[in-house]
Amino acid sequence: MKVEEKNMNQMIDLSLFNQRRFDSGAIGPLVAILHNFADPGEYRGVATRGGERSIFYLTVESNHAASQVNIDLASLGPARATGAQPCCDCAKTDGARHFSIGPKGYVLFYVSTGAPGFAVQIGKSDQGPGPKSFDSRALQAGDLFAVTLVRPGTYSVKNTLSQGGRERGELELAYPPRVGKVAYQPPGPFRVQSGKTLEPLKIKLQAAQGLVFEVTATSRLVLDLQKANDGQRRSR
Amino acid sequence: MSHLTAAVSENAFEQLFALVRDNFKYSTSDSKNFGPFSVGYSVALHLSGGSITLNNDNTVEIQNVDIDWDSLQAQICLNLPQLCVGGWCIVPDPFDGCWVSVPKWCIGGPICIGPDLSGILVSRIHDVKARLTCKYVIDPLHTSTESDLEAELNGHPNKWKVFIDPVWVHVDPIDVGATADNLIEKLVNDAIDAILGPAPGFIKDLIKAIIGPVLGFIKAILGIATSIQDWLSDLFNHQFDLLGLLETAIAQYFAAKYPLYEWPDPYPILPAGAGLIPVAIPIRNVACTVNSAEMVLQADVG
Repeated sequence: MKVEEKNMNQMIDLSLFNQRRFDSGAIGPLVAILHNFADPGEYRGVATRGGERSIFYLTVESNHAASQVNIDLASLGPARATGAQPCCDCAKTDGARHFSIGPKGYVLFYVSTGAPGFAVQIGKSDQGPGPKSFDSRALQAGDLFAVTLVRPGTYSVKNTLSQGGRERGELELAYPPRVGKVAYQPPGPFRVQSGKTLEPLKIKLQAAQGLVFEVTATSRLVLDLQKANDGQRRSR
Repeated sequence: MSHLTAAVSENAFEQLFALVRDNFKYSTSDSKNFGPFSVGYSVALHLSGGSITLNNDNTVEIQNVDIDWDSLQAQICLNLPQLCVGGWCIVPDPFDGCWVSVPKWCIGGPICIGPDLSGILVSRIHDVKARLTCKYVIDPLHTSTESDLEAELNGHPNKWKVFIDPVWVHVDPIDVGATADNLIEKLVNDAIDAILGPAPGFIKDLIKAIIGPVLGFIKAILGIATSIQDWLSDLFNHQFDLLGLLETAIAQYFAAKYPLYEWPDPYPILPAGAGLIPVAIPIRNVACTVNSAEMVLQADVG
């Protein structure tokens, strides 16, 4: 019997851990944006990152029971049709790019892997071009922005769309605890209000603890790593 | 009454048995998939030590022969399913726990460890009860046009062979040393380190904190309720039935593969010389028995 050797290094996606900025307007791994589409109907969404563009469809049905639908922006793929042919119809028949939710549920946008930088705009299909119901670059009251930080250190927290835009919060993420007698479970998520100001301004998180920004006024939330605490690797 | 009678003392019998025992070599391998994990093994072994007793009831009893593992390499493959961040609840629901949760971002996958268990597994032949059997074995090179005497002169005579023919073989269950837990824990730890090799130190520390004590983590994945020591013991003794395979291999070996003693038929009496042809006598009706003092061989000439 030959003992197999596997290339284990392929199993780890380092891009998950190398991010220094987490931006609700430029969605990447470890963050999620939630929006409730309370108005039933057909919606058309566009996800962009740099020059890439993906189209997807969302149906909000009054009798739909699902409380949550996750849309992985990294797996939508580019829009298939261009030019004179409308790009909408092909996506509409593609199950991987057509989503459904109830009016009380949340649509959750996230990026499973790869580089950050996604923005999402969604509007009612029957309203044609024009202002959108949702734009991830300007979150509105009721939206949620969730972040799971993993790199210990100090971060600045800012709502770049707040009036004045100068107010800056500070976040400190603790180094992971030592291996204990039981497996470590991060505490429940820490919640921050993002309105005219951030409340609270000082945030202390345990390792891998979730962070939720509850948006009460137009927000684009940006967290920047100011000082990493990479520590010294402990002995096993 | 037989024409010939020969006796082998108990002491000489023990020396003949030692040759049989020392020539025993066995190797086997197997693998099984148990759903969340798979296990394979490859073993090679030989025998040593033990004692032999000749009994008046025409039986031979072999006891306490050590099974020495020349190699005992296992391979255990399992998935690391819990190396995730995220997955927490973002919109709680007081009625059913969670209305909306964030996705999980996970790393990990299958890992395989290859513990060398040759130093920590112990077993021995507890007891073999046997009778002696004499078999006439026709040499495969002996052609139909060749007389027995010509075959003897050409170096491939038929032979009489005395085998130890087991009535039963009882091998003690394989005993796994207490260090098995530490060995497996260390190997899994090393494998996790290999997965996390390129990751920064804070990620390694975070993942290890999430995993918690490695031994508990492994036992949860493998569904082990007791100790890894007991789990390995059950695996080899029952799941793979290595015990049964050993007993069968030992019985077949003693009964037919390596004789205690053998001699050619016809049996050479005088070599050729001084213008005379060699003299050999045909041996027939061989019987082999034992008593508490010796092995007795009886045969007819003709």
